[in-house]
Amino acid sequence: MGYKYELHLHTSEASKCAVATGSEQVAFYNSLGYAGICITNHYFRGNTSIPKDLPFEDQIRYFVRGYELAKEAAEGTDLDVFLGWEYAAGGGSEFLILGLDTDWLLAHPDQMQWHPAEYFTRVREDGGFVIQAHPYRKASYINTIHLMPWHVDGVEVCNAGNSDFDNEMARHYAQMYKLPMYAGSDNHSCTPDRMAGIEADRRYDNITDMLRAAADHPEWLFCRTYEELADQAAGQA
Amino acid sequence: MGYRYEMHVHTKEISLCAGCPAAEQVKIYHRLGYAGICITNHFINGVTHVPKNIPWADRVEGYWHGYELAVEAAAGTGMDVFFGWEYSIGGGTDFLVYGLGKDWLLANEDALNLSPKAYLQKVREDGAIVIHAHPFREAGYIEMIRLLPRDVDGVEFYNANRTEFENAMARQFAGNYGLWGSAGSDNHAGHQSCLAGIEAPRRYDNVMDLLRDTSSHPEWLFCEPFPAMDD
Repeated sequence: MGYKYELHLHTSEASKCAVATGSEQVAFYNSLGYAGICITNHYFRGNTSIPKDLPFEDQIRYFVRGYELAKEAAEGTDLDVFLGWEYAAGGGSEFLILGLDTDWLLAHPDQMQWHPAEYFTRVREDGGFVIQAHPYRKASYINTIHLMPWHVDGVEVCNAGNSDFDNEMARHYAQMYKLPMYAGSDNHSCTPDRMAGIEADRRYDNITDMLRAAADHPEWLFCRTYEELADQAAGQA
Repeated sequence: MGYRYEMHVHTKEISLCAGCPAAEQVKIYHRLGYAGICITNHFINGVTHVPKNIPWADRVEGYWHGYELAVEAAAGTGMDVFFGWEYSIGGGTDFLVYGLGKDWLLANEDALNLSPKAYLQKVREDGAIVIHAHPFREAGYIEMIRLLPRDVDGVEFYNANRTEFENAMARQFAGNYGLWGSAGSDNHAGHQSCLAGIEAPRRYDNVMDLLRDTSSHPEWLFCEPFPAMDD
């Protein structure tokens, strides 16, 4: 068994639509023997619970609290916890931002005024990673598919909450534009039927190193039922 | 040769970015032996010469006049001229709308206030066929590709001014979502390096029937170098 990484995870401290806390998610992923998880809560303009009436710095502190609580809960375990966020570009289009830290968020109080193309350029210039989440998701709140192939580092070609058709469209898109392919559970609870992620060859203490390595290894992507993962973890125990 | 139809043409009198007058476009396509052309200038709210600060009825008349100039130029040639427009939602995302006319435009000034999805739904409910023009176009000013697969009838499989990669992406997109194919030159200049369109086995007196039949015959679509013409 390789080293599993969850790239797309929400916690109730910051995502309105999540029902599991950061510490609950840590316990859940530890039970499945994961090596690392990325807390990618909904950010400004998304389905976030960040209070709008706080000063910017307090909003950021509020936002990262879910990540910090998860990190505390993971201390002493084999699970690494990484900070990320799910940036809403508008119209239901969302992008996972990985590899940056709280200081970066605090340093850019005007970031939500940037056009998405500028946002991704700055993220990437500063060492961050941009993965378009579920680009072909079909949902009642999504009127338009938005693609930005020139501004992303990769595409979520398997989102465990999306239909096989939506995921296949994402895969075609990534393949045609030669974009690295990634996978994530889009986990909002501790009871997903299906999970997706990366099963890497080794442990990575830096998420962007893992992502860069995974870019050349599409065979590391997985999508399995919770039962399969639980059985696998039990077999390793 | 079959009956050739140009589905995507701009004329200088209306589209700000076009360099070829309607009469010249008609002359060129007639000399090339086309059965028909669709005048699809940028829409009234877009990059056109039609003033924006005049009453709506006058804006429509001004826009319609571009089409009338082409019809006048084609009189007596045997070539049909059809009306359409290229509706833009901004950022380089455009949709060709066929099958509606001046009366619809005069009666639907408020349509411009609709969201893109609502606009496309409205025109289709009122009888139009909507073809997504060059959906995967790449250009310096285009930061984002926008797709509305459930709100269009078809996609330009070939746009003569796009790269083969961009056109291949369009065909893949259309195939994945079961959308019709169309093709057009996106002709702004009259003479250009390539032409694209539909070559049908018979003449059509309306563009809607042409597009519907073409949806079952992607082999009618063509994209090829502009033929040599004697000056």
